[in-house]
Amino acid sequence: MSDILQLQNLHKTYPGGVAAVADLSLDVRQGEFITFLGPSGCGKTTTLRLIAGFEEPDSGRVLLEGEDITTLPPYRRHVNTVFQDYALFPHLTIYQNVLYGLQRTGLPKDEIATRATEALEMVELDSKASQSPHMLSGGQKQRVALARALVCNPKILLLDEPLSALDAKLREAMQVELKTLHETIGLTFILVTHDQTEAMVMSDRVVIMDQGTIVQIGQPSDLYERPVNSYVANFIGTSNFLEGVVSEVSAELITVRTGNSTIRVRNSGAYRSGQDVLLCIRPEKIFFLPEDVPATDDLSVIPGVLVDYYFHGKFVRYRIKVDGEDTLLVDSQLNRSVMQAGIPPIGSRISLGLHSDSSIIFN
Amino acid sequence: MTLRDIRRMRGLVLLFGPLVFVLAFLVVPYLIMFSYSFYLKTYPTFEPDFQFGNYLLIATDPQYYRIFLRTFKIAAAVTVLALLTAYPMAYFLVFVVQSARWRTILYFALILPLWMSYLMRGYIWKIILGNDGIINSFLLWVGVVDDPLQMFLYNQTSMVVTFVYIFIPFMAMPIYAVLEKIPKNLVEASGDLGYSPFWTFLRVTLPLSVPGIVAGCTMTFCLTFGDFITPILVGGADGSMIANVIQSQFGVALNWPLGAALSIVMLGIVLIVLNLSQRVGKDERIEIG
Repeated sequence: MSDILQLQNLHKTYPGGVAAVADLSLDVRQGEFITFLGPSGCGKTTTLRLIAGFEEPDSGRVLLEGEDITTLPPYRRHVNTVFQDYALFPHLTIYQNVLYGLQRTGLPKDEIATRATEALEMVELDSKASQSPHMLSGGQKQRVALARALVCNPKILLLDEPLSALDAKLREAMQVELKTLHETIGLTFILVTHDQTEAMVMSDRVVIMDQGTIVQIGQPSDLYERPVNSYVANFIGTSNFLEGVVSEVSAELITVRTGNSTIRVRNSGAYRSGQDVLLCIRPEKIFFLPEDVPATDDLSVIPGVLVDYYFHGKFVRYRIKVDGEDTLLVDSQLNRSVMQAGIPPIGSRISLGLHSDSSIIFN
Repeated sequence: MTLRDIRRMRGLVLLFGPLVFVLAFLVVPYLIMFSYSFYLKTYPTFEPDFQFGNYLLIATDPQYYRIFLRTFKIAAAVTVLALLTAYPMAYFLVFVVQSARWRTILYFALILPLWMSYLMRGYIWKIILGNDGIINSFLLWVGVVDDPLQMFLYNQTSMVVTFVYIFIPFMAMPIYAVLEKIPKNLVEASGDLGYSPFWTFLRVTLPLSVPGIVAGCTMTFCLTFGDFITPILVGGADGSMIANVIQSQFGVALNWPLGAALSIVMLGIVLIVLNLSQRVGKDERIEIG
């Protein structure tokens, strides 16, 4: 797979001295669905605007198919954008909106008419062709914006938080629709979002950003299973964080003392005795143990008291107090045995189990 | 009393004052004027009658319809020139000035002349264009001319210039308001879809600003059409406009019936213009967002 887009050492500082993007480099592969994920102000939108040409970087280069487009204005770049609030032209009909981008291409009139009609058929809005944008629902506007961008045959489709204005149900449906569309046409998609679920569901690779820099790039499952630091672990999915001190290091295992409990973690690198560490444990990796199960090298046992629980439908999330201050979230699937045994009463003493490969350890 | 009755009552109470005011000081005077327009002039006074002689005179005597035509021409020229001047100003404020503080300062500077007396604003141009005016002093000082040029003041051009200056705020304000409401991402979307700034202006910004243009043109046209002060200040021998003629009919000419008829015709023309602009405005009113 070749790289269709290369971002090389991009810097962008807005007036006022806030660095929006700092030394950002990234290669985007032909045909992939890549997502910039991060909280607002992390520089993800600025990066997208640098690719679209709405902003010029202070330094660094943007290469599209190897060609330097850093200073090219938006109207001379072969990328198209789906805007956050759609940006449909209110004075034009749906059809004219889709036709718009084709009218400056110099293609024959009947060809652009055919292409615009086909694009509207693709998003199943050909029946609304003569209507005004304000007659459409949010999801329909979204699809018009998509058709308007795709009809131009861009080399890359840029999507700036395209689903953020939609309600939850519709958002989920559009996620599937976008992913299917991406698989069908094989175009490179670059998405910007602050919604981790959206990023995880749709993307081939996710770029996690913080304060204008890339924190981690990887497939969704990589980011979830192997976050490089607590920022990523915190941003992707739900995590329990436990502070502790390394008490013992062997070839295979690191023993960490957190308050009253001892947690053994598979030795993944250079940790030494006495070092302060942060353990990150996903709620679904912790499970209930019958009483009096002894701890082993592979199995850490954490005693606790049930504080509260939250019913989520497919699972129950328990909040369990361990070691005085710390509480752990534990997710348990609502399978048959749990249903039969019932949820233990609040205040009961509980024994939690954790395998040595289930926690992630950070400095 | 139902809630609906109460609401209706409240509406009536609120409207009562303005309604009385408008009736007493607008509708009644116009009705009086309207009836006067059918009176017969019997020098040195006039007597009640119902005849169309005054209107017939306006339609047939070239003196009157020429003045109407001239007024129309001047108002149209002022409207076009004010639009060509005010639009770039408003565009500059909204799209070019980046700092909100400077935008406010410049916008304030644009409408500041409205706080000054109309007469002052007219007189300024006497000072600029007159014999001892700024332009002539400069030309004399440079040595281009030996005697002050008479061509600047007391003609239709000087009237148009003065009108344009006076009415620019009325043109710029509605255009500014409309331009400011255009979402910036529409402009970006147009660029994204392959349109250079020039084409984006023609295809997006200009069409979306039509309501402001219509509003500004209507105000400028109607205000110019009924003006009689600027012609007195800077208009020359051929600088009379219809309002000056009406004024003289009620004054020195002592022909109230004819003055009333002229006023009614003028009112009719202004109403037609307003009606047309409202129709254009309705077609172009676009729901942004």
